[in-house]
Amino acid sequence: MTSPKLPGLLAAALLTLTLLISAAPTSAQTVTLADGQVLRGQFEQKRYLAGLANPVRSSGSFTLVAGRGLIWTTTKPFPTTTVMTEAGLVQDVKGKETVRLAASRLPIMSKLYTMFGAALTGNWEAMQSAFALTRQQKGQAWSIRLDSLRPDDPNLPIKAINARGQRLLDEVEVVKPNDDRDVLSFSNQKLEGSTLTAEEDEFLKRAQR
Amino acid sequence: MVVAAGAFLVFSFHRANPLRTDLTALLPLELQDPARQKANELISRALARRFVVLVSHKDGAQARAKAAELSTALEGTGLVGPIGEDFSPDQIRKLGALYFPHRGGLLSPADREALLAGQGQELAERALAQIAGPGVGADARLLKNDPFLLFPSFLLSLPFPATRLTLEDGMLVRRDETGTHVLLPAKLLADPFDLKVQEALVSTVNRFEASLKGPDRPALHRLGAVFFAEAGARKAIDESSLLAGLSLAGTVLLVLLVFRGLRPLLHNLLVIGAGVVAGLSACLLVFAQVHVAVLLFGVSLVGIAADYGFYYTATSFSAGNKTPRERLAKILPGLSMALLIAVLGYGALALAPFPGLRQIAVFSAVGLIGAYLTTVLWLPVADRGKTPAHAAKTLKAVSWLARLWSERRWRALRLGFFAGLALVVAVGLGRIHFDDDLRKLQPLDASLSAEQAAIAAVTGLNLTTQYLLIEAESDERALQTEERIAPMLSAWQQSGLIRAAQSPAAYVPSLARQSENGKLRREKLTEPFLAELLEALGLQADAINAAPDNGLALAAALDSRANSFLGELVLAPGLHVVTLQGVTDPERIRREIAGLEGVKFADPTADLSSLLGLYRLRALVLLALSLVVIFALAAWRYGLRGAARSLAPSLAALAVAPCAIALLGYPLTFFTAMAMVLLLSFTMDYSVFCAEAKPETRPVTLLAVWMAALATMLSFGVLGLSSTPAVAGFGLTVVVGVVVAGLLAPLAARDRIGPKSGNHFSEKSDATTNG
Repeated sequence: MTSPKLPGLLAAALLTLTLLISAAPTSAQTVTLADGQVLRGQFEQKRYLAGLANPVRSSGSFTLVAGRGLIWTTTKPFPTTTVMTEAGLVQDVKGKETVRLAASRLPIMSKLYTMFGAALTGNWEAMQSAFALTRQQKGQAWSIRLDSLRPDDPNLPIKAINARGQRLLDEVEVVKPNDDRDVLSFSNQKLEGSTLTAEEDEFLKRAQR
Repeated sequence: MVVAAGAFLVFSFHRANPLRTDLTALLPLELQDPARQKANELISRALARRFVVLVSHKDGAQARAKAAELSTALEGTGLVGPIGEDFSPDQIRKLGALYFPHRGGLLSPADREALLAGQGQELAERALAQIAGPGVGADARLLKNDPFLLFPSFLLSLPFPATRLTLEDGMLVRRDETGTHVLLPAKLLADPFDLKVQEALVSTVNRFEASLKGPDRPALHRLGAVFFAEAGARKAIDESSLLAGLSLAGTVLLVLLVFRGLRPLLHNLLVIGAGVVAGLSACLLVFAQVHVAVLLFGVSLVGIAADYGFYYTATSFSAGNKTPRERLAKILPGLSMALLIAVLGYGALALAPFPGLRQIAVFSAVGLIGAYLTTVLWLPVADRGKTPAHAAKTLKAVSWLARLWSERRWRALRLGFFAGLALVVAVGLGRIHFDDDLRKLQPLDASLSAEQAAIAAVTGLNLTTQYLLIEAESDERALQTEERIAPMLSAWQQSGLIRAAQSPAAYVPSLARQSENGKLRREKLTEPFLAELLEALGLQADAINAAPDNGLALAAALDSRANSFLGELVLAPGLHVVTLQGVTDPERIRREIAGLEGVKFADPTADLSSLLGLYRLRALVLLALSLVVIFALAAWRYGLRGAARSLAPSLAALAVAPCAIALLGYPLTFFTAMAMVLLLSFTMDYSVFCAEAKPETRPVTLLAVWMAALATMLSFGVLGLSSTPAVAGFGLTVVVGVVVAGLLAPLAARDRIGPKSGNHFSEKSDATTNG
């Protein structure tokens, strides 16, 4: 008789962080995506690592396709595409696949996309079991603070999350137990009908294999 | 002595339950290959101690709450180690702490391939993509120690068995459309084949299950050797009590019907009881424990032990004015000869190196001696020597039956009977097929198998029993062998020959491989690409901590107990196991590793099955040997012709029984072969009684023989009712053989030289009718 994999769990924990990074709408205002609808936007990420003089920057665009997956396209510092679907996570560097984490091996991968989507569209409930939520609302603007209920849990190495936005998520900060931080800003978010490019479609198809 | 034996039994059962339930306890102590034997033992011991319970509910919180409750209840039995400890945060930290200081020599197979192929640049870019991208939350401390993020890559490559579970708040969870499933992985601290342990554990789970009420109560599934063993033992004990009860009731009825008195009944019960008590206590004295299956076979002794008592009691039918002692003296040669042959027959069982059969041999031989002594020493003393009123009528009926063999007018019936037997042999012979597949002989409990399937469907968890055994002079050499076969294993995986494999070398590479990896990393990655990466990150070169070069020794990894799987894969220094999951073609695996030194494919169930096949053959050889010995004994006493005649019923039984059960659709197994060995000793009783009998006591003898045959049919007939095919086939073989031999027994009566030597049936008819 056997049991699941520990490193898988480690990686899953690392990835949980990722999913929280882009989390963020309000409880009052959530956006519901119909199947096939697409939410597009730009992001800029600054990763502050203790001991590094400057943050590691990256920027690009994201495409959330309801019912199918999330495409995270980094253009700077160099082209990287990360696709998350129910089948798992696939990362391409310069057009070549370098990482593939299948949900069959890392079950949390299938949840990653679901939770990502939920966060981007304004549903924080997925995090309520692990975090204490504090919300503030000022007119259209809202902010939310999530404090980890178990800051020393190695499976969820996040101390706190701060997010703010108006209709959609504008900025989120993820603070790790060692005070490393990721700050992500979002802009130009647009809700569209189903208008995927052939390349995006291909990415999603490949990631779902 | 009987009282002493009885007291010993009470004491034994009082002190500790000496009943054993594991199948392996019945099986040979010696295999041709001691390393494989040791591996099988260690693996099955480790596997047998693990079990899981799956708690499912459509509401996640409910499932978790109930799982936590059950977890506490199981730990509360004191028989189970801390549940889920392998998945505690502490354990994950231990794993990281074990590997981290040795990261210099640890590479995932894919990264190693990339470096060997000169693709260091790609690894460098992957690292940067991960550091900057959404995939990994590397911290500065990790980056300073492992700037290329090879360490997480290595951890991810470890071949932990693929399941679909994920860890949530210390619990292993899977969610699907039916709800939330929580898996409780547990390890028994006690022997899973101890009946008391089984009962305590199973009743805890059952009690918990019973406490779940309401229409939307959580569903419980269980998987583990302990559950199968408990179900098997419960079935065997229930069955043996039921069968023993049936057999005893039948025997009692038979005695009452024929002897029509309480006194003969008590005498015969005394004989049976003394036999069983003597046999069981001898068994405990010699082996300290008895397997439940032996108990089941021991049931058959009830019928056999009765033979001697029957024979003596039957003499009262023609007591005349003879004293009990005189009557005993008349049949004593027959009784003694029968005992001698039976003990020889059972003794043959002891030659087979199956602990279970040795137990049966001791049980039976000592039990029969006990029954014999009781008959010879006690029955004449307790006998009041009265001839029962119905004696004449009964003997007349028996004589009439015997005349079927001797009178000319029944010739057609006799020929018809022989033709029938010949037909059974002719047709059955073609239908005989051998099948030693253990899974068919001892099928697993159906409802537990269904639960196992349910758990496998939800979790991807499976029981694995097939593996490669790696033997080398040291751990280092064994690890190197595993590294040599690793490419073959991944090819197998890709071609679908196996689903997954776990090899010690995948957790801890050989020291040679680690030093090679260190060199690769330095020359193909660090030297050409580190400066560039650091520049992109804005890190100073002096901030980087070079990965230390000290290798991780297997022994150190084992000592750390960070990886509980590793301990199960390393059996002894230089003796390793590579488990294989989802093997689709064992034969191809055997072929592919054929030329590899120190690598063997082990399939314990198949090994056991082929071993049973081997012993089936040996049992048949044993049977032939017994026949030779018995023929020699018989020839010494009755002459060649007499020997042939006295063996005829047994030979007929041995020819017909396997053909008849083949006609019934049963395969010929090791157990059938053992049944035939026993059949020889039972049926020889009848022949010997008949051959030793003086003509005037022949009806009495036949009465005893037929009663004995009926009693045997009762005890083995009930075995035929067993739901375990191996036991049922065993019982049926004996029943068919005993029917044939019982019917033919009068043929064994000693030939009288007479004028009409052409037809011995008619010769005997004089003797019989005179009796």
